[in-house]
Amino acid sequence: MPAEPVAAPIRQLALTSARELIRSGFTAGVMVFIFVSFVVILLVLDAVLPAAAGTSLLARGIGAVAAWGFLSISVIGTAVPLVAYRERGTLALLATTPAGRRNLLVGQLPVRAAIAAIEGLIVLMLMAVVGESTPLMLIAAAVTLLCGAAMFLALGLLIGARGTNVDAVMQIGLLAPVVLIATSGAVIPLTILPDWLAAVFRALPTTWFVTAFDSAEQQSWTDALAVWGGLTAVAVAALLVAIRLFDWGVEKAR
Amino acid sequence: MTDQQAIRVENLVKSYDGRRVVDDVTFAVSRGEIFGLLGPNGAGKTTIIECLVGLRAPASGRIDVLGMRPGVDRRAFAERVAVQPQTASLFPTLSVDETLRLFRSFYEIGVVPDAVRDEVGLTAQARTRVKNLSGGELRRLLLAVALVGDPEVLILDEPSAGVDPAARQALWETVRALAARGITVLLSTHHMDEATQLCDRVGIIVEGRLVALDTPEALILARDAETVVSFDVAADADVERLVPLAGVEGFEIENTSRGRRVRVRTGDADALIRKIAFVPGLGARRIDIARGSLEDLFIELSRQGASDAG
Repeated sequence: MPAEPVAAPIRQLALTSARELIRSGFTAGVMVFIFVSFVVILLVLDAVLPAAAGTSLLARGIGAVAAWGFLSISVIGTAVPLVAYRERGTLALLATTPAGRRNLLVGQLPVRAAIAAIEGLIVLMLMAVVGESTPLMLIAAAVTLLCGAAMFLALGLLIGARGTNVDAVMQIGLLAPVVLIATSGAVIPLTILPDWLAAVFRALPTTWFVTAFDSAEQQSWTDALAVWGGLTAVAVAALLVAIRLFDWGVEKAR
Repeated sequence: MTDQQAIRVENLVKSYDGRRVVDDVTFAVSRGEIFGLLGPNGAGKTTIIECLVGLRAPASGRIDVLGMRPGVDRRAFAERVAVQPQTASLFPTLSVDETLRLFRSFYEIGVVPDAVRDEVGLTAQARTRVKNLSGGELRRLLLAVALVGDPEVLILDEPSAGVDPAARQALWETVRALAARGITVLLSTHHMDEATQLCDRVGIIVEGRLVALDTPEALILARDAETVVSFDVAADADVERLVPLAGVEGFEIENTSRGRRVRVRTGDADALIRKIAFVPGLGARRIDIARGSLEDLFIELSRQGASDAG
């Protein structure tokens, strides 16, 4: 049989990942549903309770909306498929090829980054429509969305790199948004919590992301840079650890 | 390990939950050889193969494939050694062509995906998604996936399981062509005809132990497999005339609608047939020869293994 020059594995893996995500339908549908449903709930509440809320609930909860959407991409859209491949033996087959764990993990990112970008644009549009955002605030929010999306995707890869049970990861995917909202101050203001608990919640990178939107107008550029730097550092660290600890689902050589 | 050996397995042991499923197995496979691992279900063939390709770690023993240790440097190993697993899940929504292009992209040097697709007979299924393939088509796609990196050693776990007879013949031709190109092939099977017709040598695995290792022909001869010569005679034929003939080790007679059917066990069928033809009053006709087969040996060894275990 004729020989053929080398192709690009990362491109093929990215294409495969996109085809699997889009053609399977269910995963992509769940991700979209989770994001859209949260926006719709807040819009309905705004319509029903305009006076009581004072200002728009959607405008106040825009950081939580973005986090909610990114988290569903991270866990439901990224970690669950990877764990399913491990559970079904697909990763074990790939382990017998020179595919490489870095290629495999990074190959998951393009399609998910595209979905995150669409959600990010929707968030920016909502900020512009229902909020009182200045162009500078929108630019700052865009950078926050970029860094936050990177962090959430990397955390999804980290869970996917080690998870062995699809049902367990799915449960995480359903519970994590609730925990994220509860700990970020979006529903329960951190100021009313005991100091030690508020300090713990403020130490969570997800809280940095959500509160960056809440306090966008009060933040200095120094604060913003600190948040962006923190989110990016977590993203890079999570990605490196995921690549390092990636489990093909095979026994380790002795 | 010599330069001529592609695979060397020494004293391989693998246990699950304290039970030895592979017990002190030693064998070597030469470059360009087609080597068969033969054994009943649950004998340990798949575990040996999984150890060979680095999917499982041996409890003890040593494995060398092309001078490399499986599972140590996965990338270098995988560039030269490919496996078609017995069961593997590909990406269900990809088409056959998309799957082959994906796996081809992993290798520095390989073959054109369309060529390997055509070679395994999946031309008509080029755009069919994996989830819509039949069991036999999926087996062939897994073989194509293993071939697309142009490996030096190809390991096939039950390659013809679920494959129709015509496709099996095509598979055998593919394997022979690979061996002719110098590719070393190790395959597991419990199809006796596959082992006899395809393999240069076979190792028979029973209860995790290697109980026989040689060419199929030598194994049959070494176990003194007998040939049975059968023929019809008239109901009143004097079959006792067979007794003094040299080479007759015993015979059985069965009454049939045509008279009687005689089955004679012998170590030299050709000489016996010549003698039978000249026995006065016997009138032998409808002569058949059933030579000892690898299947006889396999069944005998499997029963021995089962009784030893019991």
